[in-house]
Amino acid sequence: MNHNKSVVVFTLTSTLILLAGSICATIFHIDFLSFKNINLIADVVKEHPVAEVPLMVAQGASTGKAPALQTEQAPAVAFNQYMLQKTLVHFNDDTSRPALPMLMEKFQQLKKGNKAKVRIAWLGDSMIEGDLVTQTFRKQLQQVFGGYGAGFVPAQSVTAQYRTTVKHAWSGDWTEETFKDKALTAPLFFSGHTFFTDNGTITLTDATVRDSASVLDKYLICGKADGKLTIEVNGRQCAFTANNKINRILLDSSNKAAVSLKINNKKLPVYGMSMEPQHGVVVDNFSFRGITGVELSKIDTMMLHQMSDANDYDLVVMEYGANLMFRPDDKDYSWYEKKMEAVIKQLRKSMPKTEFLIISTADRAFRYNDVWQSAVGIDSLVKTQAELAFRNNTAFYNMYASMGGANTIVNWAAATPSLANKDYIHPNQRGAEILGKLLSDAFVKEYNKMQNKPVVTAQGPAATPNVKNRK
Amino acid sequence: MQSFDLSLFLKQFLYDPKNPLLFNNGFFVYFFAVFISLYYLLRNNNTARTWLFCFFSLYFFYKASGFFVGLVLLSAVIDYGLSNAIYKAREKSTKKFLLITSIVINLGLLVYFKYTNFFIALCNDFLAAKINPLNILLPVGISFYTFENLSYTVDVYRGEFEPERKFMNYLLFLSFFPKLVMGPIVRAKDFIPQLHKPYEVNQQDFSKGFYLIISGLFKKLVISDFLTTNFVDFIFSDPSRYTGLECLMAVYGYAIVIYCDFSGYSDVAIGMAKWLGITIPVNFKSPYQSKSVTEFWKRWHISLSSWLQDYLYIPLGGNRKGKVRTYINLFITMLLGGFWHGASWNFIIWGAMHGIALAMHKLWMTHNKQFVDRQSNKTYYRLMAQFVTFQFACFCWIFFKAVDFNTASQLITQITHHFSLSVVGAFWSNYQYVIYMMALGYLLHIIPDDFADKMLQRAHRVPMFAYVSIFLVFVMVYAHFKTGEPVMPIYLQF
Repeated sequence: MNHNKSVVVFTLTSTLILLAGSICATIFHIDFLSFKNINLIADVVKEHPVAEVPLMVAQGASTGKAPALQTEQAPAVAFNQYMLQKTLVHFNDDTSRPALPMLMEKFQQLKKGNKAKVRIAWLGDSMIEGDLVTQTFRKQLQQVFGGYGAGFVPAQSVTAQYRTTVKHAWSGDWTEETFKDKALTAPLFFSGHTFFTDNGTITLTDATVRDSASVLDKYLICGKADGKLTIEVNGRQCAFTANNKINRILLDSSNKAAVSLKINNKKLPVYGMSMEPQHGVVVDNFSFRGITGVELSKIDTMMLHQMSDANDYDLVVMEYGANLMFRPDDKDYSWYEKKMEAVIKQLRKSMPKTEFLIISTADRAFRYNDVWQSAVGIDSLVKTQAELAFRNNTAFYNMYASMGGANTIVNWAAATPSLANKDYIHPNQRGAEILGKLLSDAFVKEYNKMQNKPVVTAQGPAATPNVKNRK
Repeated sequence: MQSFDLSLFLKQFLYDPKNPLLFNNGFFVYFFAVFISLYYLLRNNNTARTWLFCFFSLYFFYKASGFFVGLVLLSAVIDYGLSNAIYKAREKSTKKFLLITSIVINLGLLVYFKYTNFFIALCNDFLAAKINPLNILLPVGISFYTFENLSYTVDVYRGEFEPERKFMNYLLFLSFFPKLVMGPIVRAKDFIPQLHKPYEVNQQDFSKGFYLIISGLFKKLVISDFLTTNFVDFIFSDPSRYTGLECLMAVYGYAIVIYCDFSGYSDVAIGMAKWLGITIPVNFKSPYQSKSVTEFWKRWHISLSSWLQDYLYIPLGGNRKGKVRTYINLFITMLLGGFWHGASWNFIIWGAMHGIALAMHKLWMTHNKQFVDRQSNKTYYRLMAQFVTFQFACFCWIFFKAVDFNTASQLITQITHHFSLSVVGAFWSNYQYVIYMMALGYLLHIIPDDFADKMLQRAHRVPMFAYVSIFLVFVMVYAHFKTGEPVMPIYLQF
């Protein structure tokens, strides 16, 4: 028997039921069991939404001017600067003055040929893992103001093999304490990892030095050692003292790019090593995946004081946010504001000679109704971070707006070649390069304000992520 | 407030590059409903039915790929003309010339659209040339209909059948919309004769068609899409951020994704064809149950592997020119088969690995056939052989999925150097729905075809109400998974 009629009956019956359901769902605004996702008339029905304007439309702000702020209570005009793209803001009414003036002053000294060292600590999450973003930022600043070297390298790292600025290997038995541990036997450093070993070796080869005559200083960054500290450096036993909570021990100062050391002191807190020039710019990458910044409260206050006394850091950059948006519908970050405020106050108080910069979250997307879009709470989070900077007299950089604003990460992931991973959180190497260049250009722009000169950048005009052109 | 918008309604009929027509578009529901109604009304007029089918197929092409539909028409005209000319030509040399013309035109179009930028990149890398890549879009289905054109003209040249006299039948063979995007690769000698028959669908065809369409859509739209979005894509995107365990599970996840994707689409195409009175041979037969790589290629994408065998391996000499040539021919066939999948070194590596494995298996069987025959019925041997074959297939999928060789090697490094079972607890708590979905995928995969057939034989008692209900339940499940809370990556390596 021919059942071709059954095919027609089945198709028409199913279609009519779905169509009837779609019409009912549209008229009566029913979303029974996610029906709206298969609504057969959704594409031919026009919404007439009640006017609701997003807080910030960064996409349109390509001129670098702040778009109109859409809040019930307009804050001080200076605060509006947080919406600026590709600009370091210090919430001054007078925008002709540079943000981070002490740092810019030191850059000027370097430019004049003075033998100074500018050290920047960049604290962040997985966005900067493997020296992503920071390697470009460092390279650009070193090109403009001088310097070389990969900066801080933790004793161990899960992404060591993918870091291109340094070759890093280790062996032996190591134990580790981190930001995530409740019981700590030694103070934590910016890196959030403390390592211990009685037979461990580390070998580092800097991959940033181009000139073989350049003298590269190699430091061990460690905690306090009881009595004399003996370490085998490049095969030779060397004795050092490490009396402070944080110690920078110069292991080798030569034109060699590599250094190896062997540690057999189980009680010595080892943080890592630093590869840096004798003068110029040093950028230390302190990445710790999965954190939001509030974990920095675990850093020992005395250690911060000692770093401040030793003038270790001219600038501390704090870049967090991706891990705060772990629920797609979150819009309220007041809990974070309270916790982070305490952290920033503690850091500022402990390091009075250091300037601080808060970098906003980058774009992060979730799947809403089967479409990847920027997190609905991202404007709110950026504003929260800006308010933290504003209240604590800290410079601010809007990474989200600078990279292109809403849905940039979605476009980056879809671009050919792609600029971001398909987790819609992390820019990849190419995307990170854009972010690093944007920020270094923003620094140079501030520096140029001191010179009263036209803006120059490390390599021509500031990079603008143009996804369409990259396809 | 919502209201009907005429301009939006009219726009639905035009090609939208951001929303090309697929089986899961709302538009397809109307498309199929209108098409099947008219097709049924014209059931007693074969010519009108073919014209209608051609029109809807070409329109489907247009909605899926825009004006590239012209390319299908053009290649249909050229190959229809050339195949008839080959058939009528008296001289062998003329036949050969016409065949070569057909091959050059078909492969030329394929190479231009699919491989131009790959070869430009090669020139830039190896010859230090500075050629800018071209902005070439890949027409949907070109890899499939190129192979269909080639097999047709070659078969006519070989004298295996007379070329089709009616152009519309040939056009329908090429443009048949159910197989448009992902095949199967249909042979004209199997397909075209069915167009001359009346429109008949028996009970078994109806229930089997229904089963294939629903299970195919479920595999593709629920299992494959869920695993891709919620696990596989972000791990393959940057393996260095994930533990060895996550990377390994992503490989097994991708194995089920690619199976559900390919076989799901094939099942829908075969099921839809059954409803239209056309039989298309099965394209996947539980390939991960294969006991050797040779058997794998008899179960995986059968229409492709049989095409490669008939039109590449055998013309190269097959096994007729000695053992060494047989191995070389196997290798070349798979290498080019890999390249057919995409213009990248990774596909070439993937094809080469399968080619080497096929050659090695042939060599092994040459020396150990008696041993294998003795052992093949034993459970331990079967399980071991299945395990090894599956692991090999999964290993090769790494190169198939990874965007470049560097990413593939990163993933392998994570598995070999950063594998720890200490993260199992955290892995389970974050990814348990992913694991459930993978398990469901593998479960569907192991259902034997004859088991489904036996169940369907009882389906004549199933009322239409039940079919509609099952379909609606599937639609609601699909709607749920379309917007379910996404599984976000966790970063286990602190």
